[in-house]
Amino acid sequence: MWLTAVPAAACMSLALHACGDSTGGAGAPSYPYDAGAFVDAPSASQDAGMTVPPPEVEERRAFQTPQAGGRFVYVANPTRDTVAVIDSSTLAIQSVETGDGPTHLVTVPGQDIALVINVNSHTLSVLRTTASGTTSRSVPIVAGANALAVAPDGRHALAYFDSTLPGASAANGSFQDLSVITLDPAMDRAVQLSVGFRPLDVLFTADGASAFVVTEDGISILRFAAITGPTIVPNVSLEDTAIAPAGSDGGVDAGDASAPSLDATVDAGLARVPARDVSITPDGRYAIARIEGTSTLRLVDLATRAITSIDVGGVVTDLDVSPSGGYALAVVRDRSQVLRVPIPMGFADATTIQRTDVTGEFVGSVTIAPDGSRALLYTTALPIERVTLMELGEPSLQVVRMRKAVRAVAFAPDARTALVVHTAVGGSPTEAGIGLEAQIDRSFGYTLVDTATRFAKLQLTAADVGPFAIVPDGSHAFVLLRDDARLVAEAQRVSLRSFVIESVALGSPPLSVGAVPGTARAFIGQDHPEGRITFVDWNTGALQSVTGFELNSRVVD
Amino acid sequence: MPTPSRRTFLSLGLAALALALPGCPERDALLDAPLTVLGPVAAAQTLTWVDTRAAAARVLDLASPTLAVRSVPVGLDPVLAVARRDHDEVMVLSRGSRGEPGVPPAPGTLAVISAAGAPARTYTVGSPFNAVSQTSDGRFAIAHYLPSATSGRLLFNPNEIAVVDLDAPPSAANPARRTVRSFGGVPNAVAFSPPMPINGTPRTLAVVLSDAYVTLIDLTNPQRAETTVRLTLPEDARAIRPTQLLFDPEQSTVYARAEQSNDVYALRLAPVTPDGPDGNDFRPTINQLAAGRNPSDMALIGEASARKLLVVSPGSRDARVIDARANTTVTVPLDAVANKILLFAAPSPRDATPAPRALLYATGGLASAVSFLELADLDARRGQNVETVQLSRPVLSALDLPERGAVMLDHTSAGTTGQLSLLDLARRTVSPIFAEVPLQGATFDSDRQRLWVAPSYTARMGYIALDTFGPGEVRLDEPATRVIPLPGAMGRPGRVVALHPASAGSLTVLDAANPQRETARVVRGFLLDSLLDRSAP
Repeated sequence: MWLTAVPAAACMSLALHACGDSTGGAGAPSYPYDAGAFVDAPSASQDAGMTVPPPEVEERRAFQTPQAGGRFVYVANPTRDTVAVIDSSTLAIQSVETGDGPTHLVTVPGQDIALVINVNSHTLSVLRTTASGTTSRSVPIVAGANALAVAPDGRHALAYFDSTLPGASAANGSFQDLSVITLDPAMDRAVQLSVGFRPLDVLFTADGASAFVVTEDGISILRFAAITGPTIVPNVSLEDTAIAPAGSDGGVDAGDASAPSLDATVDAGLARVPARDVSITPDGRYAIARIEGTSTLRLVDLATRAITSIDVGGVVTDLDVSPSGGYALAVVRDRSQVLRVPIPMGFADATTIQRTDVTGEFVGSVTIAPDGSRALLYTTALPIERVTLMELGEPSLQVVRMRKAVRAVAFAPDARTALVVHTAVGGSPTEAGIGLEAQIDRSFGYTLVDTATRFAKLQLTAADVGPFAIVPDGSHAFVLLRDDARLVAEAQRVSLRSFVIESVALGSPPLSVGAVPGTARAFIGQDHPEGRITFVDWNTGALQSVTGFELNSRVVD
Repeated sequence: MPTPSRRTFLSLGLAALALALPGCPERDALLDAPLTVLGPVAAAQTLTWVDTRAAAARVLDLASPTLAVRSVPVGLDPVLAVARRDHDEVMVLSRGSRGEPGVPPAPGTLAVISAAGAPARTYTVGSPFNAVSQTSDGRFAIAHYLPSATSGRLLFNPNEIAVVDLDAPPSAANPARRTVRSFGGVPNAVAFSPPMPINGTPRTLAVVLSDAYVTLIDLTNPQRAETTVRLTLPEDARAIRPTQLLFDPEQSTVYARAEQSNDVYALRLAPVTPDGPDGNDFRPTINQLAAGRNPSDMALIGEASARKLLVVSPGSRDARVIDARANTTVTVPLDAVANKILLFAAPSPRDATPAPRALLYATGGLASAVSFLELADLDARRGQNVETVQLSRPVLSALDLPERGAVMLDHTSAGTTGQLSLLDLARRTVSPIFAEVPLQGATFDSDRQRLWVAPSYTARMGYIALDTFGPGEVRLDEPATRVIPLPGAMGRPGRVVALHPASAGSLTVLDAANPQRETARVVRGFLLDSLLDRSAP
């Protein structure tokens, strides 16, 4: 899955995907593996006598501040109640006052508009930047909000409390309050809604007209055009046995005056099984989910609220919806099998489901390229040093050998390149007496894969692979490396055409990276008390740095 | 004593005669006033004094057979006379007059006096400034106030300046008077950039240094607003005082070092779209570069495409190579503390090829060793590129002699006789030079062939030839208070002038290349020239 909440055109993704549940696998795996040598994947039958591998691990990395718009980069400064607005072209900085404690900041993709939650004043400031300056306008939002999601069209945003974020505390706010912000240059406004318990994710339709708040209770559907005031947004349950009564118009969406009360949707008696990997088709018509540890796939018709379940005959360890929404790929790890499930036909007619055996391989995760042309199959559960490239047009499988086990995978927007992040086993790679394989296994690193030729290049790194970004045209990637104890502060500029890697030493530890499409520059936010950011021309590698956001903002002419 | 060529001015006798006349009721007050002068200031073959009482400059032309003295009026209350750089002219800053009985108010002026005798140009700067700074090419000058200035007026604005285009004639727009935006400070100094290409057009910038901020003025477009760059936030109580600037025209960057700051400030001048016709088309962005503890000197090294900043920080006893674009720093530990940097290109004892190198040394008696730094591959080699050379005594000050590939080190401490060392930068040898007189005031001739000293307690001048280290001295008629070098002209070698303490003016002119008493000329009384022709202002 490449960018669920942010369009690829906006810039790039830092979401590394290897899907699965991170809560099921207690204890160290006991299965054997060759830490150093090429590992032949156990077949399904070979697994029979082994301890069941842990679930596939999904590693999700989010942008941290700074965040980029089209030309400007925005950095929140909670201690000064300001946001620094940095012109990536001239490096001029404005310091814009916001509410109290601006902390959580996002940008509208491709636009020089930033939204920031002021955690102490329970407001959200909307910053709009033009050549003549930045305006700031605040609207009240729900208390305790710590997450923002912006619709692809940039006309609406949601502010809510995400209890899964680092540092989130239940005492900070409601689990079920949510603010819908209508972004209108004439008058921004916010409406407070009540949704299901614990929002886990927010998804949008491609046109930005609707949002889907995935909660533990189900999916809360927000049709923005229909929202006129505070209301309760009942859930569309993902459970087979707890279906909220649907209105004759097929909707219980926010803004629907006839929507049933929340009580009507509560399934108090149900032994709940949390749904995982909920995806929405780009047209907003269907939600599809897998249930962790089960062989069940569920399709929810978001218009009729009808739920259809199918049993695919094996535990589904990952599920990814194609960019078109026409089908989903489900991975049945036990069988090393990939299922192509047409949406919705696959749920009505099981014979339409195409099953592909990844013979001789052990795969539990799938990532579909942004253009839907191919997918990568792999596992994060075992130290398997291979990935499988699956062409989706004329289905075919090609194994690509890695030198290290896989932790996560990401495609470039043009799907020509994939970046595979590796795990590192314990121990020092420089320990005397160890062999080359052990040195490699003990090192951090990543592999670049040319998807056309399957050429792979391993790059070992001095520190764990941190945030990375791939620029919109897919020509370059930037990878951050940070190890404060060993004084590693580095960015790597990676040509995705030649796979030549250029190291960029930084003066302070890198925090975040992103692309500014308007100026063809990548920015690298750094950990510096005065604020520091380095811009890199992704075509030439030319660097420019700014330190001291407040000082820079006080230049007077 | 051999008879030197002399000229006793007729005016001296006339003046004496006038003073001797009894019972003259109309005696001019000027005749009784003590003669107070500014200068002399050398320009070409002339020396210029400014008679502050008479508000007139006396220009003595040492190239003329008759040693003519020319009198040029300047503004009232002259306070400063300096040579205009790269030009054979002298600038005289006058504060003007607030008006007294019989004396109408007069504005402050800057008079520019040509050594060649062309008519003087007088720029009306308006206010009673007391300092002038000028660009390295002498094109622009800024008249301003020193921080401790008092104006002698009821009110004055210490942040007022006047920008003078010295290549242009005086006009209503020249000088351009303005008040520099202030954050509570006053200008400590003014520095000027070389031409800085911005938006494809070279600009000369004036940088006004004030406590905690600097102000950039585009002298090429003086009508545009100045740009003020704060170096601290308002709540920061540190007394940050910018003291050193470096300009990197190829990178459009100004580097500022400040007392009380461990950071160097890199101000990159980024082109922007002007806000209106008088808006600036550049805007500085600040990059604070960590530079060790108490950075004391900095220099730019490397090609433009890979420009880096070399900084010495005596507080952390190291040198640092800073890449301002990426904010990366390479620290080079030093055996000897250093607070100064001298860049040079020369061979080394191990490398016959001249290459960029640096001498790092400490003034103020902090160290009796210096460090040579190989600049090539410094990032990787770090301490391997350092060679320490021990000296016999701590260094008080140093003087670069680039044409000789050497540095003159002064080891003289207060109250002692002098000791110098000539440090050969290529061979890295140290040649001591002993002196039996203090070396404060020692001066090179214009060709830097000899170092001259003129102690005030004896009627002799001493020198040492820097090519042979051969010493010599010349006996004078009277002790000298100052030595002034004069450049050669029309095939003639340079000369040195020994000034003697005499209110009417007294000096001895010597051939710098062949200093002999027999060929010296003594000139006296030139400040009284045409005394009887003058009247009090």
